[in-house]
Amino acid sequence: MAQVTFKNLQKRYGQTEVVKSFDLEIKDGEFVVLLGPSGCGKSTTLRMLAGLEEISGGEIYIGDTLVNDLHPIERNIAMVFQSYALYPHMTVRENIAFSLKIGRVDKALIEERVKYASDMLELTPLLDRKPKALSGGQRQRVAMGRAMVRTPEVFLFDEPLSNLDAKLRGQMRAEIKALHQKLGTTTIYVTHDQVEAMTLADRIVILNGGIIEQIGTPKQIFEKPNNRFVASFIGSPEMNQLSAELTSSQQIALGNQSISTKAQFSCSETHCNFGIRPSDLHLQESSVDAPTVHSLEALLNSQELLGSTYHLHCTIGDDRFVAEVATSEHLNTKEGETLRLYFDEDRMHLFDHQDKVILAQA
Amino acid sequence: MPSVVANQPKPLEMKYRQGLLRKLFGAKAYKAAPYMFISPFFILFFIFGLFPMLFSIYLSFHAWDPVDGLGAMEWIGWENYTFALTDEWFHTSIYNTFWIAFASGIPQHVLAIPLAYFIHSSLTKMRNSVVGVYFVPYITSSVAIALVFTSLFSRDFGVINLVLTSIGNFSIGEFQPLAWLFPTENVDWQRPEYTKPMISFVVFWRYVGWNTVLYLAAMQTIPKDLYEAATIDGARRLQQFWYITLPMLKPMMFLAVTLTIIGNLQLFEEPFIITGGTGGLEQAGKTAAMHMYITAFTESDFGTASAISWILFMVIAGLTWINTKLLGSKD
Ligand SMILES: Nc1ncnc2c1ncn2[C@@H]1O[C@H](COP(=O)(O)OP(=O)(O)OP(=O)(O)O)[C@@H](O)[C@H]1O
Ligand SMILES: [Mg+2]
Repeated sequence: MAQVTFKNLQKRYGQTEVVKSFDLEIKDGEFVVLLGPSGCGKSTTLRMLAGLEEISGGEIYIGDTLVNDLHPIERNIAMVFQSYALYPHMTVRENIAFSLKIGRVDKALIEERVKYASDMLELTPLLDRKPKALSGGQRQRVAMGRAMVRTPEVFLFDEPLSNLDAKLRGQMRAEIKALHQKLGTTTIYVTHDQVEAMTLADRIVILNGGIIEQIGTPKQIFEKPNNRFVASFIGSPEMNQLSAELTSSQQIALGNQSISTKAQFSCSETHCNFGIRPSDLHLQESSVDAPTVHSLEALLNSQELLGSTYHLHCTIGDDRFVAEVATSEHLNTKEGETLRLYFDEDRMHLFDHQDKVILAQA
Repeated sequence: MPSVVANQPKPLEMKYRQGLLRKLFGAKAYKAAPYMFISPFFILFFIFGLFPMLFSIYLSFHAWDPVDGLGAMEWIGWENYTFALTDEWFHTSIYNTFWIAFASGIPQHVLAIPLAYFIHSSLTKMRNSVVGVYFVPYITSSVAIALVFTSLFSRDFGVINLVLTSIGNFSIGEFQPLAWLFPTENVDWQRPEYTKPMISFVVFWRYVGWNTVLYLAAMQTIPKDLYEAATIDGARRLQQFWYITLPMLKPMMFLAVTLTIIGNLQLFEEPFIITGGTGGLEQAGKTAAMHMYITAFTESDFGTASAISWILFMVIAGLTWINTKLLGSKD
């Protein structure tokens, strides 16, 4: 097991910069998720660490060793691919044992390791089948078994669950988590699925256009986004964004309404964006359990029942937004009527004209 | 109903084109049209394919010289077969066929696979031109090939002899260090012991590009991430070739080897042209297909020729069956 350090890592294809100055320190045994939209450079970063892609600039360390020029096998990593990349002509047993066979490990030891991995992943009854005769989830487990037997220092996963259906994805997510808890191996996991990121990660790294937007625990990322990109990328439904004016350090104007905040905000320009998550809006003041509660009046355009919650589509001025309220809280407001929405001051976010968060000064 | 409906656009009147065939022939003929269009193949196949095939079975049990007309056919049972099978020349021709088939066939595949792997993994921009160069012999007229090779192998003026003898005659003072391995005088390539190797070489040279293209096509369908997974599992390039490429090529090997078996056992063009249609001195270059041809068209013994063709067919079928057992797999 080992820590992994990226120092000013860069990747260029000709003129195109795909990864720009990637700095990250991953602790021994940590589970880090690289999260970001399609094409942001997640796979490229992972593949540079694996040694499958050349590094254009910067340094990667595994443990204390600089691995830039090492062959993949010398980096002592194991990787699970999105397509699983199982060897179709080999049985499950041969697939799992392949790296050991190449490494000329003793036959008896290979057998022992394969047994260990297949017991842990419940693959024992399938050992003599070819990958073709397995279900998606079973193939996924074989790919994990193949990565496990080598007892690598770092596990790499590149969107390992994106080929599975929703139910199986949930199941496998739990299995990956359990595996990590059992083995404690440093893990880097690439995905564009925020649920996977939130549930699996010790820390999430949000990437966008080759740049790190934020690094933090799932809770930090969700509750204290650094900027508008992170704020709207995480959370479903997306965080509401309303245009606002910071008329004074404690006054926020939204249309013709205004909020007097307890905390102080300062920004060079008055124009800003007011962000609040749909689930942080409530219909009754009593359901907001917080020291400072504010409210806004909004016009109800339409509402959707989703079972345990209602989605209320509202407008303030020209800005549309969504409130997600519990069915039990729901009042008999009709479309076209106004309603009042309550929220905790600590749950609102302000972003400046460069989309960076404006932090409250206690 | 809400009043918005009033503003909806009217349904459009569409004028789809009628099919050309239906317009020309009407509905009834239209149904027959596909059969009409496909009939030329079947007519030609029945006349030039199926009929001669069935007729040759019939013929193989008769003695017949076509000059005497159809009435001269005489039923003789298995005699043509027993004659062919006991004929020494037929034995020689079968021996030659197998000799050449192996000597040209095995190197074809043994070379084509690594060659394709090299082209696949190492060449990028040059790939198509290199493949093209290897493929040229396959589409070159065999007459041109024969012409080139007979002049290359000419005893007194051939380039091959020139190169070989100049190596053989290479000397340091009186001493000729390479004379034990290379000839010092012009070799007569017409001699029977050289006939089969020469034919084999030409056949090998001609088809190696074709096989390379087949294997290259198969290699391009192997997913790249298998190689990446193998790299991470610690396999170096040679090991990747051995453990990934080769097994994944099996279906194509089966096809390519089958084609080689069928092609090589029917080998005719190359030996015919290289030996000037005679089979060479001491029949050294006479293949089974040539023997059949000579029996039919030189000796006018169509019955025996038909029997030979069916014996050859059985041999090819047998070898293809063995190949299926070895390389063809169900999964
Ligand atoms: N060979 C290449 N030449 C030029 N650009 C490339 C090349 N390979 C990848 N890219 C670009 O690099 C960027 C990052 O690719 P990468 O595969 O890392 O994305 P990703 O974050 O993994 O996306 P996804 O979630 O879709 O897998 C993409 O915009 C892609 O177009
Ligand atoms: Mg990717």
